[in-house]
Amino acid sequence: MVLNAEHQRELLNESGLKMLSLCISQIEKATEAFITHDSDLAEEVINTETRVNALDLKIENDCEKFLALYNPVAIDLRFIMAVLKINFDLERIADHAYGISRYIVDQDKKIAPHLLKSLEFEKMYNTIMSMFENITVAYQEKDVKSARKVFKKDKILDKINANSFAVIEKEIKKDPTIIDQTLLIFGVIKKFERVGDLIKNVAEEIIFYIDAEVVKHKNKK
Amino acid sequence: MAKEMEITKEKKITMQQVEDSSSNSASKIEIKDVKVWYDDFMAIKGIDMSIKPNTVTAFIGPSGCGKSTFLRLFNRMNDYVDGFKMEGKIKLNGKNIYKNKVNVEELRKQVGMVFQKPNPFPKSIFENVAYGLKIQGIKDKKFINERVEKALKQADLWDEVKDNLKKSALALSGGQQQRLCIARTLAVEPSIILMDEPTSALDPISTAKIEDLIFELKEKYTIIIVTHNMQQASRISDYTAFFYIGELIEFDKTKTIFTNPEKQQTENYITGRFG
Repeated sequence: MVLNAEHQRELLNESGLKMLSLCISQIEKATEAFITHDSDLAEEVINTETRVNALDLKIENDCEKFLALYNPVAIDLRFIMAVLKINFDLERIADHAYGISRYIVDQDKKIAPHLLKSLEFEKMYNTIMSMFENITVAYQEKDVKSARKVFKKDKILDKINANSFAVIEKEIKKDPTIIDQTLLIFGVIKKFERVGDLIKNVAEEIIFYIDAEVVKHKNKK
Repeated sequence: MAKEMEITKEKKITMQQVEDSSSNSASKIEIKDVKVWYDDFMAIKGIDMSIKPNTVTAFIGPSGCGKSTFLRLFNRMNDYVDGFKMEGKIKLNGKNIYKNKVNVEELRKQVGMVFQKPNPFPKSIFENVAYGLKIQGIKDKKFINERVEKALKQADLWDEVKDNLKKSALALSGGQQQRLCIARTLAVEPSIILMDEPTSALDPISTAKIEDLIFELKEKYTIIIVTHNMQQASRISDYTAFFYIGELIEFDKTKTIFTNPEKQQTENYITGRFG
């Protein structure tokens, strides 16, 4: 690959990493705002969404230029395809952070700590953060093993999400006055579950880029 | 080319092994442990390969890797190169073309070749296309006329030259001249067409026409093309062979070579990281 193309590829790689860090930060801040009921922090996430969108467009545009100008093949083509798809997934993750933040700004409801505990909210959040760490290492160091770690962790999120309905039903029966809080947290849990799926997609794309292996729609251990 | 054809006339032994040269059904080529030397220099270091009929196979690799030498083995173009020596077998539909009794002239009716630079003869368009038929001794004017028209149509040149068949071929544009050379090759109805960088001297429009033509010709012929243009190889070929310093490094379906090649050397070459 010619020097200029190599340079452009490196810039694109850096943009991808920047998008990843930005989206992780958005989820972190949105969750903190949700738990601490910090509407200022939630506003910050909402405002930062425009930066996410701008970076999303920049990456898309750079990928298009790279495809048109350098005709990448083999590993370079897989890299561009992966960056395009990862970028799409990350932007969706940031959308979920935005959605969570909107809940805080639009609805003035603090969530009772026992509700967060019974719904394993913290475990869910920590699992997501751990998955983010795995894909960051995988992306930066081309480490397929690290990418594969997220598949098992996503199952933890799926399980918590699947149990959440029954837990909420039980909690409402105990105290019907918390119905508005439960609806709110149920919405966030759904978003967390979806974030887990999107992180899994990112891991699949990293594996495709590095090993040329398509793991999408396959059973993963 | 004319000179080469004259030389081949010296070999008068009739070749029954490469029979029915005008049948124009695409041929299968099998290459077994082929080695080539130019004096002490080993240009091809033992290659095995099988080329399927009705496919386009691209030979790629850096300059001096032996791909053109290898291509020219299929119609014995290297026979007259000083110091050329070859070992191994090249079978066309099961018959070894390097057997002593093979008539090279007959072989070349079956294996046509198009070169890097268009090389029309300083004759009319018609005479260029009819040349191969005439040196075969065919005199039937109606037959020759039909073959010339058919070949020019196959080469996608007929509509552009049908009213000027007596015009000098040298007056055509570079792209038209190259299609004329393809028509000249097609007129004798070979079953294999060898192309040695056929578009390297052409502009993008003419290149696209030749590429379209290759795609269409694949239905009837087996085509092998040497190209330095990676995008061309990926656009038009079914199979790609990567050569490096006289060795066949990788030979696979083009879509595999250009998406996920097995060998690191191949990946480095097609992504422009060496070569």
